[in-house]
Amino acid sequence: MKPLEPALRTDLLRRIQTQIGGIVVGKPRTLRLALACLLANGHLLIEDRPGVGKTTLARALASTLGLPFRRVQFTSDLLPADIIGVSIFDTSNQRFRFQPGPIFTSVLLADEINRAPPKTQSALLEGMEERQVTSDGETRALPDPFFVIATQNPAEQLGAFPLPESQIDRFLMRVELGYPDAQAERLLLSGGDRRQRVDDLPALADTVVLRELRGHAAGLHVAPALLDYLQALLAKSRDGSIAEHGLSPRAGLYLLSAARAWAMLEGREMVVPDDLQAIFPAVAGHRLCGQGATGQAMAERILRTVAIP
Amino acid sequence: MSLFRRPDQIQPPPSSLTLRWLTVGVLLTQALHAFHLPMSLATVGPILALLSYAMHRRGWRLPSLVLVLIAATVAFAVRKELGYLIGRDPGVAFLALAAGIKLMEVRTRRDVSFLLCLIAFLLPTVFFYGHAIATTLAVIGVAVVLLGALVATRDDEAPTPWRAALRLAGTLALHGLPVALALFVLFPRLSGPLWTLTSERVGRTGLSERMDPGMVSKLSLSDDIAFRVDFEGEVPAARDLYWRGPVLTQFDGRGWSTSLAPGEGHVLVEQGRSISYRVSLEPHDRFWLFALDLAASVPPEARLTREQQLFSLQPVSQALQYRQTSILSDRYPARHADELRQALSLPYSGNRRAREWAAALRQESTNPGDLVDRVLGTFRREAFYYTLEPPEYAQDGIDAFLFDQRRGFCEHYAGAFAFLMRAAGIPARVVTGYQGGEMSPVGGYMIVRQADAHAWVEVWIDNLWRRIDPTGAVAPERIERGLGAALPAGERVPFLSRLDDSVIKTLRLHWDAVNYRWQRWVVEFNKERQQHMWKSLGMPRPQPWQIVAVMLAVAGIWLALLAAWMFRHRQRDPAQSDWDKFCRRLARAGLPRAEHEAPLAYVRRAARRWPKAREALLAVAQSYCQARYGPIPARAGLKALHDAMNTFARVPIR
Repeated sequence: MKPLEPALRTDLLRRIQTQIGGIVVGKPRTLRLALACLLANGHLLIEDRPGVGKTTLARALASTLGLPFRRVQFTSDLLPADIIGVSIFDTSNQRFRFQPGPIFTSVLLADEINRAPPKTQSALLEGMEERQVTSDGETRALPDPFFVIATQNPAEQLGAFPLPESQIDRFLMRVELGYPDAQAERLLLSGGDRRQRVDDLPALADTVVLRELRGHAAGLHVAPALLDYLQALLAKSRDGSIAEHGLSPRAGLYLLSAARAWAMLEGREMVVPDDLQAIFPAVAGHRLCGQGATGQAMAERILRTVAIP
Repeated sequence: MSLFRRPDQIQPPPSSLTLRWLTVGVLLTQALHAFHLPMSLATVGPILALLSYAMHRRGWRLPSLVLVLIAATVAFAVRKELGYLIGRDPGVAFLALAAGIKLMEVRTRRDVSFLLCLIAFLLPTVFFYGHAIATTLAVIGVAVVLLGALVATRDDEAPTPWRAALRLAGTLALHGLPVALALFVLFPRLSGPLWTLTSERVGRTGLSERMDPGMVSKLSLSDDIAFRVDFEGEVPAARDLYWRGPVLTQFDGRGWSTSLAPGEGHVLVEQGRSISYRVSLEPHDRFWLFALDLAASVPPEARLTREQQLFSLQPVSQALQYRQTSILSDRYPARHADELRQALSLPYSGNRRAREWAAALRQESTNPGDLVDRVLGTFRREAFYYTLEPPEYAQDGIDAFLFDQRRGFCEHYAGAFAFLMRAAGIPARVVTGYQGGEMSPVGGYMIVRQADAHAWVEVWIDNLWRRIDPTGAVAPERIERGLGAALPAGERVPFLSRLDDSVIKTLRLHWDAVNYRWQRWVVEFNKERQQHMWKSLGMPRPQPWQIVAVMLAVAGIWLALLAAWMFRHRQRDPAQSDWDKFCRRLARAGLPRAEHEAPLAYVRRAARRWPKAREALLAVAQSYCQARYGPIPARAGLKALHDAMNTFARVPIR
């Protein structure tokens, strides 16, 4: 398809944000991060308590972007086949027929992912990484776009299998929704049935437009000066003064693509340090570990200590 | 990308951009060679190059056989124009044309590299034909263009724009310049000219072994420089400035010529006013050197004839510089009897009237000095004219000059005078050379031009050779004030010999001063000068390893300086320094930027504090982001940033 006019693109992105912002009130920054995550072709991990609007966010994203949406509640007895699908013997034509699981969708909400046993987690995470799943020796491609929003209960809750580092690394961003502030909560309480309103949202885009947006974001200009800054941030994370384990080269690539998506949402034709700083805690937070401090806090500290070259 | 790829690699044909660069490179190099090539060859080269370009544009390809035929035709044309094919000049001419042919068959990257190498080889051969400043600058300019072509064509996928390519090439050339200068100064010089083959010189103006009537007057129309002189101490008066050149001892009835085997001589004069000076001689492809009468020293690689003329052992085919001492004197003794015998010989017949007059004079005169005075008196009294446009004298020219026309230039007077002396039995000979010279008001040196060419006579009186200048009897101004003063009004005078001080003349003298310095310090930087330089560096006889060490040291120091400069420059992105200035202003106003604070976040913070300046603040930050992080060309981005900074400077904050 023809590339979008810059003005049209900016307008479209603004309308998408306004529309979702009308549903998920009081969280414009988290919302924008989620959108940037999707536009950077990454997966999103939301770590928060039940009932703060994770499902609403996922549904609002899916319906605004015109994407099919499925939700899987992860439990301790969930099996990989429950996600991927099973082959059923069809008696009418005497052969096995693959019954696709909920993973065959564009926006998948994986609720409470750390409640499922590791084997099931792995099945999902492999699908996220490879963008294809294998069942009964047959490989099936997942739809494009394929965007997983996984939620995770805070680790101190009982009956949880915390995700290993290598798997948590597959998520581009990790965000927290948190409680709404008083004003937003008031708006929430006084509004109508939000579930109904989400279902009524008009689709502002489709998979084709989304792919085009993604392509545009990936092509945004990155100047050597910005790479200098990015490398300085990576170096700081690795020198042991703040985090025990620094950011991987893959994290660097993720940071760059997330910053590009963010810059596009800001309506810019190039990436500036502001963009990098905006996405840095969300992208780097869950990859950093150290004594005591949370990853988020360490990411903030890195940002505060590295001078912009 | 590598310059040299294996031929079996399949490569795409060169892009049209590459072809444009190559064509420009070939054309520029051919243009530099056009100055010395015959007209026909000089035009054929560019035509071939343009034809090649047009053929590439249309996608035409000639079979190799046709190309070989074209090359053979060109070789034939060179042979026809220059007369021979194996040698330096035809080789250069053929290469200059072949570059245009080679352009036709450029197909692969290898061909592109090969052609660029060919042009790069062809380019310095321009120096065979001249070392002027303009030539050197032009060669450097074309070299930079070739470098630019290399830069621009190294990657057909992502070609460099021509401005950027030239800028990069210029920068690289500048980076290399100090090393090139060091190599120029330090690399051991060869004592003799490596390439110069005297036979290949194009004809130059200047004196010759023979003086026919009309020769000097023709020479006098040339503003070409014969040599320049730096005097150590006071400059002698114009009437003493007789620069001795070829001494002509033989008369054949029409003109005077040198004797075939001038004998070895010695410095004959020891007493008198001694003058030391340095002569910078322009190449004239002859053997003689010039010195003021009379030479009291002999330069190295030269000798003195018994006629007191300086001869170089090598033809002067390159600019030559020598120190010389002279003793100002117009007379000297002779040592050889056959010298006098030779100075009396005349043809058996011809110029009867002159011979009769000489016999009559001899009867009347008491001694040779008296005879000389009588002839000079006749010249002075009677209606003899000094003119640059004498009539043609054919048979019995001296008779016609003395008794009929009486119009002549110095060679007529000198030739006729010497003839009369010999006919009267007094040994005499003609001396050619230059008389006078012009002090450059700029450089403090003397310029002697071809227009100062002169001929005078030496006569044997009282056992001494004495200088007699018959021209002085007719036109004393010629000797005192130069040619411009001596010629009658209305005659064509060579431009620079005129006596006025026009602006153009001043400019030309300035330009000559520049050229002279170039000549002295660059072109004539020879083995002796280099040895002198090493001596002044405290290494009178540098070993090869010492030379290499000094070269490496110079190159190393330069590289270190360059690296340091580039490192500093890298730190100072112009957009960044503007941004720093902006941040400093805000800091003075009480809102310093934290080191980690991103530009847009910072101005948003500032805009909250000074809401009125919001627009200007945002404009600066945005244009800074554009210039430093944006895809737009750096220059345009910087301009926008400057504009935003200027706007912001007018906004009050505090």
